[in-house]
Amino acid sequence: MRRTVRVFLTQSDRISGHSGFIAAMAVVVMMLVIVVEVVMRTFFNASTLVGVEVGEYLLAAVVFLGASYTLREKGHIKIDFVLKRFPKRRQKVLNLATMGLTLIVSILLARYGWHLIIQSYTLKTEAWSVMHTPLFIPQILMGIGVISLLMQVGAEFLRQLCNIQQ
Amino acid sequence: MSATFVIVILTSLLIVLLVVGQHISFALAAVGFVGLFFLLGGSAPLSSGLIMWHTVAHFVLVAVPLFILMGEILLRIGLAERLYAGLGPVLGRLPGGLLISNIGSCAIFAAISGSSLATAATIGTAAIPTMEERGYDRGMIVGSLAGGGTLGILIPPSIIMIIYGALAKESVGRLFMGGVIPGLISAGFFILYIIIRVRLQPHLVPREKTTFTTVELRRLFVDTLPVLALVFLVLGSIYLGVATPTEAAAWGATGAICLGLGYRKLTWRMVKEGALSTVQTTSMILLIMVGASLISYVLANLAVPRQLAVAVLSLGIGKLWVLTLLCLLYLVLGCFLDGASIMILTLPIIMPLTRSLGFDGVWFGVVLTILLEIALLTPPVGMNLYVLQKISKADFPQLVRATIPYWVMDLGVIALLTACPALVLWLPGKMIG
Repeated sequence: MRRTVRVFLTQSDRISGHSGFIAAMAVVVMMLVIVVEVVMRTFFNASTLVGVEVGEYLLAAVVFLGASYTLREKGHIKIDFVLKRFPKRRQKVLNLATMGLTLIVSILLARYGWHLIIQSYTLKTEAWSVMHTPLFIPQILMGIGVISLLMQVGAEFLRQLCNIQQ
Repeated sequence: MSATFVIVILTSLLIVLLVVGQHISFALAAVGFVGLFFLLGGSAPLSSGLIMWHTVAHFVLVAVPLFILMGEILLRIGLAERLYAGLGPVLGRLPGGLLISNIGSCAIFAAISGSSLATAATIGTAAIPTMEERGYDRGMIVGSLAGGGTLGILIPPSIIMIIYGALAKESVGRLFMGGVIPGLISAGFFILYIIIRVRLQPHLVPREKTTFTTVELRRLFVDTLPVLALVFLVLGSIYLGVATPTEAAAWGATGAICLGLGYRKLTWRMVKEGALSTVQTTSMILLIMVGASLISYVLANLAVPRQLAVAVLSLGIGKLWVLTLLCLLYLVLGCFLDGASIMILTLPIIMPLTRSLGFDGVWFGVVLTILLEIALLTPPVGMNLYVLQKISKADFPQLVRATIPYWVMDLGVIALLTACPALVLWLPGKMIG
């Protein structure tokens, strides 16, 4: 049991790391796509017409793929000046409780995020653009992101639980 | 369901969650889900996937990571240190010495960075050790950095303004231009305050020599020119209508990378670390937006913002009173939340109200940004204070005292902009394209 938990914790951390790296590369690609678009428009009087659309998809990928990495790196902000005034023991309990709520929220985000993706797939929803992108494709990146977030939240919850038992 | 009931329920729930240390983004999403399940019910929760998607797949917001990336790269190639080293010897000759140079460096750095924290931290790290060594008063040093740092969100590019533009459906380009003159006025006020303070209490600063050498003058040009070129590339292209703010952001980030290559400072590691840091900030801010969007959806479906606007209008109190009350509300919120969260949280409710009262969207955006600047300086959660405390090791009460004059001046700027809205609206009106 202990071993399984430990493997889950390290694997979640690792997946979040990879997920964050992909998100970071998406930022660089986003920059390049938009620069190419502007160069084409300004100097060659031609537009790839995809810059805006691809930029939006990449942003969604950055936010959701980056969410688990950001959680791992403690990058999501919270108000802690009240929390710090509580006794140590109560702080631990509150940390566990809030992480439990985060777990429920992540389950809901994953549940409804994937609901959208499946709906886009079955209804064959397309973007209103020249590419007619089937929307489930970029949305899958969001779906992977929320799953990775769910895993990381699960890992953090277990960590708080171990922390409280000590 | 009455608007008051909904607001009371959701707000109290949110406050409880925030106080016990729930992450802001997840606290908002939790409250949003409570509204979706229990206030709207039925198939309402099924819309949350679509709300998540539409909140972030938004071209205006693409500018957020790109401007952050630009700042991250410039930070890592040491541009701020160069800027400070160039400006210091020349601006340091003015009465008030290096304090003035702090404000100047902050104002220029603000024009390439979208964040106040980054501005205060970067210029602070370069300035504090030298100034303490030379015998400047510590309160004056940290005050000037805290005040100067707040210019980061007012002088474009500004992350806060991009978010405002996306939420209020105002042109980000016009907002950026609207922030330029108020930003310069703020900087002017800050400099004036330092000069007067130093005249009255000369012991606060050491004696600096009053001439500068040609070498120093040349260094000023060499060190500030690339920064000014980058500012021109980003803001100029928006002003001239050549590029949208998002495109200008992509250019800015590319420009920062080119500058790094030119200085032979840039490494793959810097790009990677810069991009990873960008991911963290972007994900943090936009997940807060996702959570807030869930709440907004609930509120909009229950017609809360409209009911609130009607209620306030029926009270028959004047525009100025409403503005004063809004200022008070934001100052109080600023004591507990960071600027971006406050804006994301309140705008969906406040916007219909300010619209129906006839406030110009761009003007209100700029005023709100200044109010959020003040939020950065008010304890217990004024973020600029913490950043500066970390790098200056000044004690907290001293830091708080030193920043009071700066937020009083910021309030003065708001009064000025209310009396004369043209200070905000003139430049956006002159934009081409």
